[in-house]
Amino acid sequence: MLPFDEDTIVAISTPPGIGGLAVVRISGPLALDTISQYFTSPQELTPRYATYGKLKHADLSEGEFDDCIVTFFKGPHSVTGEDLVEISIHGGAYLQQKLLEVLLRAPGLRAASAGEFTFRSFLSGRIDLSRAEAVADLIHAKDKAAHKNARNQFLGNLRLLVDSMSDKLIHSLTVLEAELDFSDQEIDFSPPQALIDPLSEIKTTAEALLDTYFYGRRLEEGIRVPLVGAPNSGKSSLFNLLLGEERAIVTAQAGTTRDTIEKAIVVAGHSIILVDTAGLRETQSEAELSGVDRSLDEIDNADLVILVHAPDTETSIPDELIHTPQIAVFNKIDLVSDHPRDMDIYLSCATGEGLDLLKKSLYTQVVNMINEGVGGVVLNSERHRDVFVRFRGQIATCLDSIRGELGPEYIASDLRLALDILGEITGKTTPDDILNQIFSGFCVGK
Amino acid sequence: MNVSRESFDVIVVGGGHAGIEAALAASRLGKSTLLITMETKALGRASCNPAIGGLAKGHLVREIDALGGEMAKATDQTGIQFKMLNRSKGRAVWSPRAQIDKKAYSSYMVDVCTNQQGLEIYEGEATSVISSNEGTKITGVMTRAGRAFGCEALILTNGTFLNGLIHIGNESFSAGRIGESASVGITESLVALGFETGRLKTGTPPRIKRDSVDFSKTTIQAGDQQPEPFSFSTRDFDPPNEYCYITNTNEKTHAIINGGLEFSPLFTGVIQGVGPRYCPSIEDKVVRFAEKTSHQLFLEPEWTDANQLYVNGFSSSLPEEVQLNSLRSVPGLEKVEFIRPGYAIEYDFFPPSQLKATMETKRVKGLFFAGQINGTSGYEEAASQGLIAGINACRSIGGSDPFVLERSEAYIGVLIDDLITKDTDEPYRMFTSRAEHRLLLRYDNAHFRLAEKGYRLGLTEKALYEDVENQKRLASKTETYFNSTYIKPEIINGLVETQTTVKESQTLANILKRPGVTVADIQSILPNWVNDLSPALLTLIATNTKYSGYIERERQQVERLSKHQTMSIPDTVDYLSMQAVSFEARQKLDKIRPETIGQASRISGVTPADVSLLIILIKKIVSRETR
Repeated sequence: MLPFDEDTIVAISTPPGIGGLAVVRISGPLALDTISQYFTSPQELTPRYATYGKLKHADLSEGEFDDCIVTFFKGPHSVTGEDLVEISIHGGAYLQQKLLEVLLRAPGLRAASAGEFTFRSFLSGRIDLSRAEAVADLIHAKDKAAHKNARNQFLGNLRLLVDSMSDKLIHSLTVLEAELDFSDQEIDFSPPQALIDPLSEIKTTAEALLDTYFYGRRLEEGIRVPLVGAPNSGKSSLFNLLLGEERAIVTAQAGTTRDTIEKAIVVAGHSIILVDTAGLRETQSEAELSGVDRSLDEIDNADLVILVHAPDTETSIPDELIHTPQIAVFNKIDLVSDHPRDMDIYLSCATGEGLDLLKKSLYTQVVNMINEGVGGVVLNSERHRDVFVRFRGQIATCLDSIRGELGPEYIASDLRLALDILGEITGKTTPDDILNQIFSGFCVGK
Repeated sequence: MNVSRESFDVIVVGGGHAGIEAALAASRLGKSTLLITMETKALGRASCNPAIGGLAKGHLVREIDALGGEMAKATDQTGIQFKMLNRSKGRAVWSPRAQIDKKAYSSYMVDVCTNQQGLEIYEGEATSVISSNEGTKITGVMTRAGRAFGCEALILTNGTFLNGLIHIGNESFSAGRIGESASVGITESLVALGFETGRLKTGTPPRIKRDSVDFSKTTIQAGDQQPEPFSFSTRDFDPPNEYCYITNTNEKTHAIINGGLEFSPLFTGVIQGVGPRYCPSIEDKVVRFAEKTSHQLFLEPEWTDANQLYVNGFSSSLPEEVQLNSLRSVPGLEKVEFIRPGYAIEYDFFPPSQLKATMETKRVKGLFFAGQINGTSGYEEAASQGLIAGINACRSIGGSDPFVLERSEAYIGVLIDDLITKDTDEPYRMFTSRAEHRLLLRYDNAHFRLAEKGYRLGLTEKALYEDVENQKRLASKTETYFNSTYIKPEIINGLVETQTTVKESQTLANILKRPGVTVADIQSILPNWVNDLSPALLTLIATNTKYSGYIERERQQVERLSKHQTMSIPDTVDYLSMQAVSFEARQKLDKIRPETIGQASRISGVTPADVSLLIILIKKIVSRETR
């Protein structure tokens, strides 16, 4: 967390997962400025008073954060001793992440590292000195946990990838530094333009990595797979069959499921959250209507949709579904002999016929998703994503400097900053690392 | 020479580049000072190459000057060729270098030292340190002749003399430099006080007879036509511009060297000390970079009218015969004759993690180390340390706050911080890449950065300080003018060549920021009061303006640094018992025992999480102690 302990930091401070309420905290000198750009309310923010309002911003969809409570604590009268803003929002993991992601785009904010809020509380004297050991243990534990994580395959691969990116950057920097520190010697220096290709490659990798982020989050939280279809198409029956238990109530009555029900199963070693949704149809019943709304939300957040069709039911595919992978299922094959074309799976919940095929298809889809990623790496932590967003921007700056024909010392300054940013994941690159490269690669010295 | 008293405020042992700056600083700060040297006329002798400055080293010399040191002035007075390196690149990495007349340089320093009020010189050899309080406080120094001197502060600048051992081929013999005795006893007396010591190696090339060289086969290298002085006080600068000569080794040279490796103390394992990778011997270059068929050699004059040249690039400890035969295969050197062969020297050093940022040892109060004794190489690195040690020796006597330069303030700050927080395993040399705030630490703004500090210390002359203050005012006024003066597009298009025509008015600052545009391009539209500024000042201002984005970014990085950087760590801290801190970090911290959190954070193997834990544990310890 050192050496930049006066930066403004942001984090979700409620436990991960799906809860009714989540709190996102911003601490540091820019806390109040930042929230003023997002929060609108009839009342003004008054220190230590909870204020009800909306979050509005170009980066947020309309109506996404309509019910928020923001509390501002003026430093030093806050838990961190700095200006602190607490944003309470409704909603699950998706909305929390979305808000965090948007806040991290605000200038000057960065993701808090493990234990950083607690550490600041301690530094400001908000935590009694007698608890110093407890704070130390907490930070130690979190740091250790991070290290332990690094040993698991996922983050291990991330580390390998970041190390290889660092190595490439160090190599580029070495070319520049050798020219700056040993220009009085007989070395053939390549021009900075020679760095355009390797740097562009690094930037492409960073971009590909960032593209894995959304999916990476889902791997952590579970891949969301709603069963969607017209009322009475047999979604709840299929849901129960896939779970292997009677979780949803099944009746012959169309529109029985009015709320969404979700339950996790494990497919190909990954957590899949199956969601039973209300059937999509025009309805007058208020309860059913809100069920339909919720179904549409689920479709919006889905990673994969199981679209359930049945004889005599018409399922109109909602527009939201166009970009989401889907498995089209035709249910109740035992009832009719004439089966429509263009379905992926034909099955019967009543006889169980075809169920294996659906499971296989589900498995294949999940495995396909897992194979995405860069070098086996998908980003799943907001902190890592924050690092790569800044890193990509800094590499772009390097490329601009080279194309703008700035001197090597300025390009080197840009590159060092990029390395420092990557260093937030794997540890700092020191001048000695660069000098070692120079000494081993060039014959320097008179 | 007669010494008037038995006891001094400050005693400096050694009259090299570190010792001179230390002794001059101490005496100029009003302390009675004794300089102990084996030979007065050897003061300021350049043991190796006849040059001062160079990449990053030139920055150090300018900083020494801004702080009131002597090296820059001596170089301006005795330089015989001046050259600005990296001129094709940005100002931050320009660095001045000069060939010096070694004899004139040394006599200049002898003159300055012997005429310095408050400074006395004793010719002799210091053989042990004298301490009290069970070896925790320095009280004096003993000499070979049996005469003891008392002091409040002792600065050791023994260079390569401590148990120096010279190697030429299979021969090795005790010496401090060729023709000068080694110093024996100091190392042993320090080890008895508990200091850790190690061995390093360095080398020097042969000196050859000028009249044995066929210069028609070499390339002439001259200095700048319009040389810039090192010192901010030098006026009417019109130095000589003597030539150096370039030639190259070839495959035949390398074959002869390869044939002699069995007699190389470097390759047969006789030399135990670690040498510098940036200054390898010719045999090392030939072996490690076998694919290179040629290496450049520079023939540099050692002094004006000397029949003696320095063969830069041919440092060696091969037998004299192998050196001579291989050199005779080089164009222009077919009939070369030696004045003396190159040699390697091994010497004792004291790992500088045993020092505080003031150059005082952590172990013994009043004892300071500066220069090669700390494992550095280079005249400029030595002089920088000597100056800081001299200043802090005086301040420790008077009970004043230590004088420490931050990494963001000066290359000298980077140098000393690196020394005390790193484990040096080879002789340390300054490089611009060591400075993370390189764009702030330019050679041309050293006086802007440091003259005021030097003046407040009592070293920098008042005239220079006032001149700098005046320049700062002018710079600030000019920068404001550049940022607020808009120029019409038709004027801009007539002045500077751009890929696209400018359509809107722009500030002078923005015009200067365009790639390739220099202040010379816009001089015709600048008012007289700007054009009347000295060229050096105008260029400095233009550089500030041109790269203001980068300068501002580096400044912000400095400001972002934790305020805990300067939090001091009590020296009673028991790192080994800090279970929460990683094992590697605990061991490193225990060995180096940093003075501040900033220093701790720069020790390799100490992670940010470790530093946070350290802060927590130290706050707890401090609160317990003050209770």
